[in-house]
Amino acid sequence: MSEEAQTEEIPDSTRDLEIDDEKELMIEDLDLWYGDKQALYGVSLPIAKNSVTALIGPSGCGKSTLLRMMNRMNDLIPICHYDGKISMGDVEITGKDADLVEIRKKIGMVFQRPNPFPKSIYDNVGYGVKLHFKPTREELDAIVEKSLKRAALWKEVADRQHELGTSLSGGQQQRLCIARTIAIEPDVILMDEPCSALDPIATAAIEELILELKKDFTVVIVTHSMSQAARVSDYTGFMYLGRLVEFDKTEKIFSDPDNELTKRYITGRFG
Amino acid sequence: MSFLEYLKNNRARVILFLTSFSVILITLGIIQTLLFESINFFSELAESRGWFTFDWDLAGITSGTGIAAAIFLLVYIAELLITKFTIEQETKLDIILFPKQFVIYIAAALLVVQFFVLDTLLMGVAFVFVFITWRRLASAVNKQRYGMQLSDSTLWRNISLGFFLIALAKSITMNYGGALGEFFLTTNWNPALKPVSFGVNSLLLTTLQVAFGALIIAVPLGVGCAIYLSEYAPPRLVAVVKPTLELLAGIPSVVYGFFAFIYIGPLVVELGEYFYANGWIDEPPNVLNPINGAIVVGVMILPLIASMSEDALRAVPNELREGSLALGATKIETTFKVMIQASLSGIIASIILALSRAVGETMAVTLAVGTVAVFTANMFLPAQTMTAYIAQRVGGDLPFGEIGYLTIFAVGLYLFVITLTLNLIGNRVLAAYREAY
Amino acid sequence: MKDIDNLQKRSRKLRDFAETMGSSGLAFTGLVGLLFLAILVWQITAPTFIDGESGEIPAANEFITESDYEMEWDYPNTDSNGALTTDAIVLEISWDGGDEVHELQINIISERDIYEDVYINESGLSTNIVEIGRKTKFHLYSSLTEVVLVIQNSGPVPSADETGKPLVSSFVIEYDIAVVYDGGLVFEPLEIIAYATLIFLVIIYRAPKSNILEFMHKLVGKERMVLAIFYALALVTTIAGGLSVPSTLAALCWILAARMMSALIKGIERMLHSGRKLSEVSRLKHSISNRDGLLMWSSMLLVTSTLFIPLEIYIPFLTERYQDIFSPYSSGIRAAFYGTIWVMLIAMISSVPISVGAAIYLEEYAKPTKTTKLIQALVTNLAGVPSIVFGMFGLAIFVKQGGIGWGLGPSILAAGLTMGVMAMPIIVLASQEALRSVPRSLRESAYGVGCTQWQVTKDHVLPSAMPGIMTGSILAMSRIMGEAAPLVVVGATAMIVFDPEPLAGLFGGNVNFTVIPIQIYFWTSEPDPAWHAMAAAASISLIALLVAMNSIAIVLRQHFRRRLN
Repeated sequence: MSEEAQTEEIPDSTRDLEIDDEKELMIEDLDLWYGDKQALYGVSLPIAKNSVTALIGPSGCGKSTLLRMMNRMNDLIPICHYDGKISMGDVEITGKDADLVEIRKKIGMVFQRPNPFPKSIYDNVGYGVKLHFKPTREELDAIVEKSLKRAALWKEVADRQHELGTSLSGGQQQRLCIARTIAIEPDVILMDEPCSALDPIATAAIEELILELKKDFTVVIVTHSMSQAARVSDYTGFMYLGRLVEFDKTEKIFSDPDNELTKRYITGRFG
Repeated sequence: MSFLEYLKNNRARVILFLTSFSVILITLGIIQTLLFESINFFSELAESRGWFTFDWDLAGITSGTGIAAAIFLLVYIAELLITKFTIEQETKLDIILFPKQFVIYIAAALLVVQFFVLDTLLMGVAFVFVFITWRRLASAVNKQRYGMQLSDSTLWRNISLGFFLIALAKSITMNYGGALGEFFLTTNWNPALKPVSFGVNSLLLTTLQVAFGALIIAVPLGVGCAIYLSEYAPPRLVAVVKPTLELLAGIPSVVYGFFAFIYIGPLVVELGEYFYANGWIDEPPNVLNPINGAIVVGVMILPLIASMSEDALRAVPNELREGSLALGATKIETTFKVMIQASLSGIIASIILALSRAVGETMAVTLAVGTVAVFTANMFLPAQTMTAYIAQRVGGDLPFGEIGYLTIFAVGLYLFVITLTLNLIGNRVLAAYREAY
Repeated sequence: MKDIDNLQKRSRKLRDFAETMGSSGLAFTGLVGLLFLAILVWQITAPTFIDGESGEIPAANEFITESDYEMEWDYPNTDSNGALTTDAIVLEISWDGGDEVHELQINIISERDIYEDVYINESGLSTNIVEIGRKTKFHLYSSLTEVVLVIQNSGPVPSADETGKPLVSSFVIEYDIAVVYDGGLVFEPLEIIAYATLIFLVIIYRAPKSNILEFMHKLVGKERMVLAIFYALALVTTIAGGLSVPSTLAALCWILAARMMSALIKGIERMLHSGRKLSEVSRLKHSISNRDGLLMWSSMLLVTSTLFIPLEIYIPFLTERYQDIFSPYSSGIRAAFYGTIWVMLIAMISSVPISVGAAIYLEEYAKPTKTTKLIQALVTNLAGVPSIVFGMFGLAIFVKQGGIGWGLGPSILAAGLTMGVMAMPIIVLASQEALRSVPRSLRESAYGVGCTQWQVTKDHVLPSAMPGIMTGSILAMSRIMGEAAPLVVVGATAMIVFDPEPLAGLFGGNVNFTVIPIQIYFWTSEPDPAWHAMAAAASISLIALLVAMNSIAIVLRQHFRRRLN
């Protein structure tokens, strides 16, 4: 089937999507361009509080772009410009005079490849805390310990906190990055394919951690693995060619999707 | 957000911008220094020769250049005003701006006539400015009034700027023509002994002799070295040769000069003696000579050419090399028919930049070539390059502002323009090459 | 069919021949660079041998009598209107011993004040122009014992004497010990052993041999003893050698050998601890800590030793100042060394922060506007501007008074600032390169925890780019350290008999200064070959300094790399 024909099947995603839970983030009619090339077409999406929302779709469908838009990481790319609105409560994230630092403090991010700072484990976790809260030494110790415990890393690194963060294994590094993110107590954690560079055992540990984190944080995860989305998420959005095709409860998407495209994708017939 | 608030919130950005702005200041400083003192030199030279006496405070205002400058400013301000403010209502200005058609024709005719009546070209050009400004204003107001968007065209400004530059060049050549002519066209450089003469060509000739002589030595060796290192050499040899080249590049030029003075000079003299014995040159050779300088500068720019050409060769994608080898070409055929052609512009860029380096080289050349400015094709006699002249001339405290002091700036400006042009071309070629791969 | 076979065979032969010829020709050109370097090193060191070997240098404490005739003219080169005169001063010089009469004509050719030294010896005359204050002086020096008669035939009347006759005086000058003499390869046994040990250890480090390592294995646990023995040997060598250069270098060899030994032993211990066998020697390379640094330092030491020991550099060369024009062998580069250090320091302080700031702005902050592009283009092209043009910039801005000139005079401060301006584009380009190589993910992760742009730059990007920036800065500094042209323009002079004052330009005082390249330049310009030997010695000192700087850059880079990974 040609791409045009597939695009026609995509319903207008600007329709109102309603969810039952309390909303943490609201994305409304977001268009985004890289230079002349449009990457997102009128995406609207609610993110439920204290839940895991997964974004799935084939490569290049714009799911990472959408995710990076939620804490304005795309601003680092000079040719990127956008139109639309993302709001968090009464704070408008896409506003012209929005305080990017405050937004990124509230909406943390974990990246595809683990990227700890070239500092000690302790400093990695403590860095953001020091930056934003200026704690005393004892407070900082407590926060670091708490964050490492919440990231299920404490047992492994308790006695070597002052070694380099880069000396850990890949899975541990990724959990360190999560610990670093949750140390500054964000409301939302964005995860951009956090397991794609990890082996299955490390992946299992991270997934367990995500389910644990759900109690305190709102998690948005981009993944290319449908099984992972099915395992960890409460809501799932399927994106294709820069459009949000379908968004619903995870069980609904994976058992009885409304859209033909979604059905074909989750049954593995393309993508 | 007020300006102060912006400053407060973006302290780091503002401070960093100021640091990078210092680059512009330095460049402006260099150009200002050289240009200002060079103009002083030419006017002083012309004055001492009695070619002209130029009274700036009176004549500067009434001269064509002054009027041209004033009117250029007027055009600019008028254009700015019109794009900023709207003149929608009809005003008294309209009589001037939109006269009857025949008035415009008469004005244009007068414009042509005045070239024959007025005895200075500059005044004529100034009136052309007035005419242009007049019509420009009218058309701009017209456009606004009939709701048309003012285009961003800078054509008019460019034309008037062009006229301004022509007028400036004209006034310079009128006033400084003799001095410029002596500087650029004659070949006798004798700034110390009376009668003085300032023909920079004798310095330029030696400079070019040294620079191109250096290229003759350095290009085959440097490019050969680059090809060998990137295509043939075993890694272990590369590990030895590359640091050696870096070391060669790091040795101070004054040490090279010493080397040339002690070692290369006598060798060249032996060669010269042979030439002299055969009657190929008229005078016996001297230890200090341009060949000596060419050899030592050649050694100095060798590492530059070698390393830059090697980078260029390494940047060529491996597919090209493999494609050629897959067709059954030998390694040497691949190298010479494919690799060199593919990286040719990179190699040429390295040669141009090396030439600029050779032209600007000072200490080695001062020690190796000598301090006698002569205009001769005999390369076994002491001569003087532009850089060497500057170095020799300032070797101590010069009284500021005298003509001997000013010469170095004129020579320096010439040198600066030559090297800057070469650098611009070289960097442009290099950037294009980098983009290609 | 056979013809085609033959043809193919012949063409293949031809092709093979071309292949061999081509590659060997290219190899030849590639090695010419090495050859040039070898000749360069050999020739720079050569003049330092010549004099010593041929025995031309007078032995120490041999006295030579000289006569000094001094004449002064007050402003003889201008007439009453202040215009330049070109009247020649013609002096007739004669002495009893010689049957010929030398006539010397001196033209005042410059509007500057000239200080003219004229040497007379049995073979004739030689002249040399140097400068002095507001008076024109002619010094006539003679190495003859006879009285020299000087008669002025024309020119302005000298002011030194009312009668118009030149003032005549005489004095005695002492030739000092030669700065550089060929003492041959004089080694103490301990020194030889030190060098041998170091060479041996370097070889072991490069290519470990298992049977030797087994011997080293026996020393495990006795590191302290080994260290103590080596340090004691170092002490003995220094004291036994009487603190001479070779003995000091040999002592350094012992110390480095001690460090290398202990690193080796530790490496062996660690290897055995982790269950490896000594036969797996390739593993050792990874297990020895500080390997690169130690190897670097030891090879540097060996190289400098081969340079210095055969030359027997006379220590006062490094600690003495310039004496006067007759005593090359007792002059030194002390003032020049201080001048170099001060100029470099001022250049570094003035240019590194600004350059790094500019690089950060261009790489991290700047949007691709016209201004940014202009600045980038200017930086690239400024890096290619001839150094002498920067000198003229410095002359007009820093040295000169009035206009936009700061009026610092020909001082160290002006020279340092000029050099700083010259180094700026180089440092900016190197720093930009370093900043560009910092991975994107690092910036993203820092933004992810809510850093402002400045915090990202300060806490993450800059530390990661630091090795590159430092290396670039040090390399730029080493480049300006060897640069003489701008300083000639700024007004460095060679005849400095005092230690330079770095801030003289601001607070008054004697602004004159010199640096090592300037010394080399002026000494090479002297007619007396003795000064050429001095220039050679100064060249070697300069190259040694440069090598040291570059080594520091490499060691720093290694250090930071290890810390980051």
